[in-house]
Amino acid sequence: MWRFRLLVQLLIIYMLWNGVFAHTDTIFGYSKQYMMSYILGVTVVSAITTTMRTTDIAGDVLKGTVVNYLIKPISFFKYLLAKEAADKLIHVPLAIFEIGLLLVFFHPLLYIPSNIPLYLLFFLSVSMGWCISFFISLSLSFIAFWTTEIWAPRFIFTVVVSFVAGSLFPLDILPKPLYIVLLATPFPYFFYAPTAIVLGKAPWTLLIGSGIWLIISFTLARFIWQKGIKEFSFYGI
Amino acid sequence: MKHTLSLLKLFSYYSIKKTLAQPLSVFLFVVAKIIRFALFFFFIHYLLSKTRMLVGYTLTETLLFFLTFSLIDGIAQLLFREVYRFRPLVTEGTLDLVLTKPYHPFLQILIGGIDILDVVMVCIYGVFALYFLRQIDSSYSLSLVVYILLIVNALIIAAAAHICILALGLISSEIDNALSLFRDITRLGSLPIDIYSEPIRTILNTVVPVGVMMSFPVKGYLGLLSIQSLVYSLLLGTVLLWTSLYMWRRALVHYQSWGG
Repeated sequence: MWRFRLLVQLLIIYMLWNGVFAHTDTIFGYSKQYMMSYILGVTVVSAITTTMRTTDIAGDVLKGTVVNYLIKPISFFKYLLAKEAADKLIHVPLAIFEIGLLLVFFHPLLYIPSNIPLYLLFFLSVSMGWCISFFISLSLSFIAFWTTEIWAPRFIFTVVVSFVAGSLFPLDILPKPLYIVLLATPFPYFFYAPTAIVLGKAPWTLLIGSGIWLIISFTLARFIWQKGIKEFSFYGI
Repeated sequence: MKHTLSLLKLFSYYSIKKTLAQPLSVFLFVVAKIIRFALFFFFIHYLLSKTRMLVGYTLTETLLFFLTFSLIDGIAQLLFREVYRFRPLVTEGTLDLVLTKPYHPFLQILIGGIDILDVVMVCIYGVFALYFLRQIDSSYSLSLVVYILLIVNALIIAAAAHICILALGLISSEIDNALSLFRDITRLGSLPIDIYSEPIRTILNTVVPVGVMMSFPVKGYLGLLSIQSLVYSLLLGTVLLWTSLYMWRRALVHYQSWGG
């Protein structure tokens, strides 16, 4: 169902941009070829960087089943990262398959970058984007150590990410001041930065922002986790 | 009728009380919904302020399509929220307690749990929709009547879909995925259905009537709907409602309590 939802969203955005380019050849400095490449590219990136399994942790904390992780002789963070990576093995091929369907049905003209170093930068950017998304999502789940109101903050986070991470449009089409403000937040490094870098639409310097947010998000998640487990108590059944 | 209304009032009162028991959560969810609406509204506005047109529709008209979708979706969420809580009734066997009550079960399982969060949002969508309706100078006098009629028709189709989901839930306990499927498909109507190429557009106007639900009211208001299309949409709404009620009755015949 989750994948179907993403497919519907992809179809809406693809068709919206297709409709927009019916009246013009270029908009916000993007040709149709570049924009469609961005929209399809960002779909693959979002399949990689969106974390799915960390949301379960809030429920585990509330139910007390998080103790199962605490008593195991493995790193909690590494365990979750491995779980997320396994999840990607399912979702990334599915996202590629969905894009394949779109390509078969609509035959869009795409821009395929031929510059190999861009792919290396992309790999680095997408890896950091995944980690930032993972640590922030994990921090949100850790709210459950202090409150049962866990779904509303998660919902707000999802809503904000769906717009300002670049899944609907490349963020550089926004007014310059707004774009600069957004770059100071972690969200553009989830989807926008990797896709724009590989398409040659954004400078490699965005990797610096990714690096900074990776350190901040990891430190934050680690700090909240350590605080949280000190607060945590649970009676067994 | 008076008895039914008083029961509905009672169920709604309980539902609102239950929701308001978590005021912080209510506040945050409403804020999130407002943010989502505002951001998508801004996105469409920003995009079309450059191109001026989307598949032949102006910025104001496109926004009206989005607002009408939001309004219909919001009202459907507000009215039929209880369907989301139907599965445990079936799997735990407590549905028997509803079925044996001396009132129609839909009063409880279909419209018995109005969502106060959506009341706020529906008011916001309604005010915006009214503003943009006034911005568009409709060419014929009955336009507003047609618009409201087609919104009511869309809600009838939404009711039919939710009854079908309840019927499916009775025989298979499969509710959540069916609801997600319905919501995801209706989201295709958040923008004018004309943005989709063929055969998707035809499918969305016939097989899965998202176009009839979400795009026809605005098209009717703009005078872009033929009388045949209008009759077709009203007939479709009636047929779908009748079919859903038939499915519910058939499902009830096959229903066996899961309780124990």
